[in-house]
Amino acid sequence: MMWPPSLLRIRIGNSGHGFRLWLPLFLVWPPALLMALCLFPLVLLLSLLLWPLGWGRTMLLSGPWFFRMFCALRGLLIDVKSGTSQVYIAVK
Amino acid sequence: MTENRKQVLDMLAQGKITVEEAERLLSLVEQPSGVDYGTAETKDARKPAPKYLRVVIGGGDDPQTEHVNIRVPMGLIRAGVRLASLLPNDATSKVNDKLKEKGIGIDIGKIKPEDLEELVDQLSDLQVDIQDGKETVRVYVE
Repeated sequence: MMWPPSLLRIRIGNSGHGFRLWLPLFLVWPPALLMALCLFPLVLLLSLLLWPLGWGRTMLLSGPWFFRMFCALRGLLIDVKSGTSQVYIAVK
Repeated sequence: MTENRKQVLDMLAQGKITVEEAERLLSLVEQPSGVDYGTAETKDARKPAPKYLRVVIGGGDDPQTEHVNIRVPMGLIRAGVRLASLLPNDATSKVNDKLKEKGIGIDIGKIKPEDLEELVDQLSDLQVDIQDGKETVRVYVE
């Protein structure tokens, strides 16, 4: 079962100064689901219109692909330090 | 103390590996050895699927040096590679042409999901270990 990430932590800057963000992504799930449901008819219509051009299938399958990509972000860690500077991004 | 454990601790003392790496190696060494894994084939079959691609670049324990620690979920790599299957034929042929210009004769339209799975699974044996003085670059799958 694929679950979207629930937390995002970002820390950028020097020790003591900088930007810190702790984002509870699980709060975004319900509005994102609602938005996806609202956009689905539009995507369906666009994919039908774009089918003759060859982009219909891409348009139709891009939604599930983005969802899969978003779910796969769980566990991503980027931690770069140089002296006192640091960039830290963690998706949990 | 077992020989393997002693070797890991020696490497840590000599600064060849970091504390995190030593911990990981020790946990592997301390796994119960009484389990019979049978042949090489069954050993491969029982090998857990790789979860993360890890890139660690560091300059020893000196906090002033640059240190990079990146962990990429294998699922993200799979999803990224699957993007090729979403591309329409026009775009696929354009990508193929560009690849040919660069000397890479791959038809990305013929890449199937099962091929990708095999490719990503084969990454489980990937290990790159470069050491130059105190600078180390390690790429591995865990």
